[in-house]
Amino acid sequence: MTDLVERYIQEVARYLPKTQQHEIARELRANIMDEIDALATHPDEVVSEHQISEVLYRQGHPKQVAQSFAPQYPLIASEDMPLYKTVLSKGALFLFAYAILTAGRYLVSEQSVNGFAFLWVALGSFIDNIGIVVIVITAVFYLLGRGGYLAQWRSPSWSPASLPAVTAQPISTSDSASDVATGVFGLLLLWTPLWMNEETYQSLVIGIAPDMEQWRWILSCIVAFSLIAALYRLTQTYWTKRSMSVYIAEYLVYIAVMLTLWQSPALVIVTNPQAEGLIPIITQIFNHGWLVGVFILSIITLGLVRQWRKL
Amino acid sequence: MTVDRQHKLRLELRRGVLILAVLGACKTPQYGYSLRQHLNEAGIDIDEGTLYPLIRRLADQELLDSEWKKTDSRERRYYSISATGTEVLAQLTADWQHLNNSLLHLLNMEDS
Repeated sequence: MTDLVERYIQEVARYLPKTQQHEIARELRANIMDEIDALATHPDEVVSEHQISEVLYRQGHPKQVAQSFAPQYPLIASEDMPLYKTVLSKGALFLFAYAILTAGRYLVSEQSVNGFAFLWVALGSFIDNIGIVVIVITAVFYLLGRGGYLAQWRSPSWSPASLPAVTAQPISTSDSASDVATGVFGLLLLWTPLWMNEETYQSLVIGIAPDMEQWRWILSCIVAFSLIAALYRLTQTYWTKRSMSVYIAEYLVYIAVMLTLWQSPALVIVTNPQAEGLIPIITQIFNHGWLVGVFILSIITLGLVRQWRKL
Repeated sequence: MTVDRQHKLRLELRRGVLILAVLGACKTPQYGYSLRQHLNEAGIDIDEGTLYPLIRRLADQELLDSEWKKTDSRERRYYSISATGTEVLAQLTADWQHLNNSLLHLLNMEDS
């Protein structure tokens, strides 16, 4: 009679934490034996295997019973999920920006304009790192959650007066992440001599013209400012008049810079004597490129001004 | 409404009340099966899979005291309400009565 019961208890114990196996199995056995005893109408009656099976079946699947006795808590509590998702998406955005940078660096090093290679390297970098980021974030949440340190984030202090206005416009996190990636990539492009090895650097086809060297610094300052502003925007949820004004000002500065460079001697020249054949193409690209840039940025700026007026 | 959905709603409704019922029933020492019978006789039908883990959880929360006893060559874990459990029970009972009165009033009002 007890063989079925022991088999059942053994199976339940298999799903229990080692430290609780003995105690829970002991209690479960006592309860089941009482249930079985209650089936006998007189002391000498032998309870059939079928009846025992029914008692055991009523208890539930061993795995389910083990879970009821010793619940296994989720890695992330449901009340922490909104914050977990936010952190995960920020982490993914950071990785996206890093992947774009890695792919950009690859293209610069390889002096290639192969879009497929760019996507392949970016995707490879993202996939290589996303697993680690998810594991680390999940582990941190698990540990902080168990330690009770996440409670303060579940219901942060707030007041109705601090709620955003009905006209408030959210800042697109992906746009800000793209701006960060663009800023870092721009600085990397401007300062290739600092991070590229000598041999690759010498073999670069194009570079900044020696008489325009001061523009390396001017552009670096502008791009660095944009980068800081984009990083700040990543920490904000909604646009304010001020942050939108700064954003518009950034675009206006870029437009002014492009117009100035359009009228100035060539900023970028062919630096490798073996690629002199490219000079006419490069000249044409930059002559028209600045104007095309001005046109595109002007359209974006007009859109931003319209947005600014609604704030 | 499906039978399954209705069953889930009933379980939800009973969940909190079962704690009150178990604490109340454990004023006299009970072991798992005897407690289930006791509740059953009082009209509270509760399955083993719910009751046995519940009493363990209440013991972990120190609302029930427990001790192993050997009777009739069978060992059983007896549960009885602890001092903390008694305080909690008094508070929960008051809450329950207040809630029950309000609900009755509300439900009767809806009916009329």
